[in-house]
Amino acid sequence: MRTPDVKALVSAVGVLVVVAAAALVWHNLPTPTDLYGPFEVRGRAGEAVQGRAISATVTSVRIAPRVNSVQAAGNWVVIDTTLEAIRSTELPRADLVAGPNTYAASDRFSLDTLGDEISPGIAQRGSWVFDVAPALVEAGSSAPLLLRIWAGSDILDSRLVIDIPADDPRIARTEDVDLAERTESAR
Amino acid sequence: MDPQPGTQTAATRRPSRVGQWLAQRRVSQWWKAGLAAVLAIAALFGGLDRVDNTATPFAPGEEFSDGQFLLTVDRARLVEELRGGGRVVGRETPGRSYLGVVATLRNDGTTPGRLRNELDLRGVPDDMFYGVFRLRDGSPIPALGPGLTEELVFAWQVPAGALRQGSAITIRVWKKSLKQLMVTYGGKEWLDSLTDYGVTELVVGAPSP
Repeated sequence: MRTPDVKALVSAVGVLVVVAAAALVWHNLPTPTDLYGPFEVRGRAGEAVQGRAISATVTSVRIAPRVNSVQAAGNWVVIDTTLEAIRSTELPRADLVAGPNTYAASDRFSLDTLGDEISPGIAQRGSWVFDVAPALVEAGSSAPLLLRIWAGSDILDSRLVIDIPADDPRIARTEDVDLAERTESAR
Repeated sequence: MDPQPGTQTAATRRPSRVGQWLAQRRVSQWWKAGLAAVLAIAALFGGLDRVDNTATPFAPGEEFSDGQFLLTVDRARLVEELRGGGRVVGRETPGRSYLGVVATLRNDGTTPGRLRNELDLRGVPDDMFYGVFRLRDGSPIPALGPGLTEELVFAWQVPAGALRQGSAITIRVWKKSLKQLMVTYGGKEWLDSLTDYGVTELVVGAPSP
C-alpha cells in the first residue's frame, strides 16, 4: 500500500487554512472607529459634563418652526449650552442624535451660534441650532435627544454625550426663537 | 542491478489527487486548475460579487431614488446672474453663464447627506460647479439632514454660448450604498456606485412638463 505524501498534504492544508483565515479576517476587519473612535463621557442636561478638553452644560432646549424668522425644513432645535475649555484653547464641534437620525449643526446662523474657539477660564454661552425632522421632536414624541460635543477631531479623544429626555422640563416649544448672541465671561 | 532504495520509495509513493489529475492531462491543460483556484480565492474576497451596470432613465418631474435621496429633477434655466431670496448669489461674469437646475430632494438616510456631487452634469465642456442653494431664499446648503425635504437649485458656470434656451442637457444621479469606511477614518458613508446610475434629460429654459 502506498503511503500518502504527508508533506504535500500538510502544504495543501496549510495553504487552504491560510487563505480561509485571510478571507475571514477580510470580512471582519475592525473599523477605523473601532480602532480610533472617541471615548464617550455621558451626562444629562442641566449638569456639567466634562471630558479631556471641554466642559459643557445644557441649560435649555427650544423647539420651533422658525429661528430669527427663518423657516426650518423640519423643526429647529435650539440647544442653549455653556462651554469651557479645560486646559487649552479648543474648537468645539457638535451633532445631535434624534431617534435613529444624526444631525449636523446648522450653519445658517453661524455668526450667532456656538462653534468658535473656547478658552480655559472663560465660559462661553450660546446655542447650537439643528434642523430636525418634525416627527422626531413633535410634542408627545418619545425619541430621546443626545447632544454630542467634542474638540477638533474626535479621534482617540473624549466626546461628551449629553442626554436630553423627551420629557425634560428644560424643553420649551414656541413658534419663533430669537437667537441671543454668544457671550463670554471669566469664571 | 538492484534498484536504489530511494527509487523504490518514489515508485511506490501514491500521487496525490491533484498530482493524478495533472498527470492525466497535458501541461497545456493545467491552466484550468489554475483558473479554478484563482476564481475560488477571488470569490472568498468578494471578487465575484454582482456588479450592477445599468442606467435607469427617469423623466423630469418623476421621482427617482438613488438609495440615499429621493429626488425629482424639475427644470433648468440659463441666466447671466444668479439671484435668490432677493439678493445676488452669483455675479455676472464675462464669458460665463449660470446653469441652474431645480430639484426637490428628500434625505431617506439617517445621517446628513452631502449635496455637492448629487447631480452630475454631462456633456457640457468646461463646466464648473458653482453651488447648491435653497430655492426659497437663495441660502447655500452643503448638506441635507435625514428626513428633511428641500427644493434646491444646483448651479454650474458654463461657457457663454455652450448652451442656449432650448438646448438639452443630461443629468446623471449615481446610485449609492451605505458602506463602512475601512481606509479613511469614519463610520458608514454613502458611496456612489461606479456603474449604476439614473439619467434624465432636461430642456434648458423649458417649463417642467
